[in-house]
Formats: sequence, C-alpha cells, structure tokens
Amino acid sequence: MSVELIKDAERIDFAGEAAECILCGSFCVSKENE
Amino acid sequence: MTTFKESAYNFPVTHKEGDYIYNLYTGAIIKTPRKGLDFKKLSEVELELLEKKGFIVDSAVDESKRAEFSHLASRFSSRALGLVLHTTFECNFSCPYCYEKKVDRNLFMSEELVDKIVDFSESNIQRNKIRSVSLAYIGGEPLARPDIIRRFLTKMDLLKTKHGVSLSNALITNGYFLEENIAGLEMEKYFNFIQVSVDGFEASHDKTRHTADGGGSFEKILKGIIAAERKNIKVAVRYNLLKNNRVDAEKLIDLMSRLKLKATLGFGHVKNYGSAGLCGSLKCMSRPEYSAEDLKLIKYAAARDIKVSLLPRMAYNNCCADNVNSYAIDPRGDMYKCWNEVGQKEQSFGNINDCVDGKPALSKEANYYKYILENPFRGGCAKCKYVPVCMGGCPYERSKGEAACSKYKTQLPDLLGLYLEKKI
Repeated sequence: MSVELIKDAERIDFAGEAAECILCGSFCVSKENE
Repeated sequence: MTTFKESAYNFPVTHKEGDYIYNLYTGAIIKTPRKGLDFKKLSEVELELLEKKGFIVDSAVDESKRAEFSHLASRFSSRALGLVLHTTFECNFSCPYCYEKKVDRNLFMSEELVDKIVDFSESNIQRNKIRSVSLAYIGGEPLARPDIIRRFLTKMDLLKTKHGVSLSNALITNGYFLEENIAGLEMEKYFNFIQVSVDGFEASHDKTRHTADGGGSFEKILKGIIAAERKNIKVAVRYNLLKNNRVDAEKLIDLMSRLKLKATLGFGHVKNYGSAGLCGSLKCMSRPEYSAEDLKLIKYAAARDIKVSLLPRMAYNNCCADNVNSYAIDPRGDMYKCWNEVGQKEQSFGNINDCVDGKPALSKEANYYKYILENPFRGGCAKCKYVPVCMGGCPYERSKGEAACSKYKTQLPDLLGLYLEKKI
C-alpha cells in the first residue's frame, strides 16, 4: 500500500458533538502534545 | 457508483522530502507516495481508507455544509451539561487585565446556592438523559474558598454514581493556594486537570500577580505546580503573552525543562475582554504579532521537550456561550452564557433559584440565545479552509466585531513540521 496513515482521525462523523469539556473555549490550554 | 473528489480541507505539507496531507476536518494525517492524490493510481483499499479518514469525499457533498451541520448539531445538543462555576468573586490578586473589574469581591456562593445548583444538575441530567457533565471552577480565585469547591465535588460525585454519567472537573486558578489545597480537595481523585495562569517569570510575573501587600507569588505558584505533579495531577500552565513579557517566556521554558515538569504549556493572547481600552496600557500584541511570537515559543518549548499543543483541537461548538445546555453561574446564582459577562447582571438571562425541573429560567431570554443563534457560517467563515478547527472563534468577540482569525492560519505548516519531526 502506498498511502500510509500517520495520524488517525479525531472526528469520524459529521453530526458529532464535542467529546471533551469545551467550556472555556480558547482560554483553555490543556490539550497535550500529541 | 460513487465518484470522489479531494476534500476541501486537505492541507498538503512536505517534510524531509516526504509528502503528507493533514485533513483539517478529521485531524488525520497520511503520507502519500507523491504530491497530491492521483485517484487513478489508488487501489480500492486505499480509496476506502481515504474516504473513511476524510481525505476524499462523495462529489455530491458540500463539505462546508457538513461542517456547519456538525457545528450546529453540537450547539443544539443537550445531551451534555456544562457548568462554569464562579464559586466566589474573592481574589487575592488584582491583575490589571482582569475582566471582572466591577464585581463585588465579597460575594461567594452560599451552601444553599451550591445545593440548588446540584439539584438543578440532577433534574437536568434526568430531563435530558445526560451522558456527561463538565464542571469548570473559576472565580475570583476559586481556591480562596476551597470549602465551596469541596461541597460541589462531594455532591456532584454522588450524582455521577447515582446516574451513571461521566464527570469532568477542571480548576482555573492563579495557583497561589494550590499546594495547601491538594490534599484537602483530594485533587488527584477529583480533578481532570488544573489550569494555572502566569504573567511572566519571577519579577515580571510578580509585577502584575502580587498579593495585596505587594508580595510576590511566582515562587509559591511554582511550588504548587511541582506539588500537583508529584500527585500526578494534570496541570496546564497558561502564560499570558504580552509584548513586555515575551522574553521571559523563554526563561520559564528553560526552568520547566530543568525541573523536567510535565505540565502542558500554552501562550494566551491577552485581549480587551470586558474592559475596553485595557490593551492601551498593557502592551497587548496584535493577532499577527501574537501568532508569530506564539509559534516561536512553541518551537522553543518543543525543542526542550516541554508539552505544547501542536495540532488544532477539532472544534464543534466553541464554548459555554454557544451550547444550549451550558451555563456560567455567579455567586448570586445569576446565570450567563458567556463568562466574560459574569457579574454584569444586565447580561444575565436568569437565576438558578427560578429554575424548575432542570430547565433554565429565562427572565431575559434574549441573553440566553444571543450567542447560540449567531451562526459564523452565515458570514465569511463558510468558505474558509480553517473553519473546522475554529468554527468562527469566540462568539463574544464576534458579537463585538472583534473576531480574531485562528492562529493556525499562519502557524499550521510549521506546526505540522514539528509534529512530524516528533512522530516519525
């Protein structure tokens, strides 16, 4: 196979909803290094 | 038979002579044998993978509409409950950019009010068949009154068990009282993460974040972060980035590196939140200045193995303001959609004491949906490649005509390079 998946999808459907706390919007810096 | 087209959200990048594509809608990354996607040379298995991960889509699909649908579905979802709890307005600091300038610092939540909020939460969980509850504790300085937080933690944990919901507790603190409250609040048991804000390094931090008698706070806050990490509590440090503390950010990174701290570090863009004219005296950066300096600091930190966020978080709705079942509550029980407005009673939409059966009481209903109904896809954002990771940005800023475009517009190629450097 010539196409290689390096990082998997985080959003897998189009009608989803936030899976984690998003109360503080851009104020939050908690997302860790991937 | 389905015909495919390349996703409008594909972002190609070359790294060390390898060709990669990042998809801004799904967050997936692929390595390709050559630049772009040549459909004729792809196998059935590859086409299936590319469709599943969002790199190719049905030709009939308008992806902008798909992103809009995702955004609106999340806005109008009441399957989760979110509460931003301003447990007290008391604060031991007096930061010059505080957006809560006008609040009464003597106010705090009474035990009766805490119990009322817990009752509201239980009714709301039952009414909406809630699966997850997210709580953010903020002030004032929430750790100025740990007894109030303790009452919430205990009672909400009982609801979690009783109703089988997931519960997330986040604490937004200045960190001054962190160390002495780790044990008492059983932080390692209850808190998913703690965010501590700093304004600089040692003297530059102490200049704005000092106690009422002028005493410094940097050293004490650092001790608190170290103590929290020893208990394996997840800590995020938000460095409020200004023109005059930019240089000191590198000193903080160097110190974190020497101490081998595990905290995630992020650089916040200080803006005129709730206080017009603030940035005139504070040397705030413009958005392009901030994006450039933020990127330099991320590179500096990543090179020293400090945890920094490289790739965007997939956006759904933005925050408390634009979801139908998220509320900011102040010490009087007044409820707001945006926490920038907390304490400004005229911006409140109701009071928790008037809520019945887990429904928000809408004494000023226009304040309830003013942000929820403001759809960025009706403006210039619809055709923007970056809209899946931004979703229009801060609803409060947009309403003030001060919308700031995502920093990823300028940073993404470099951040992808950093990510691939670490990953491959």
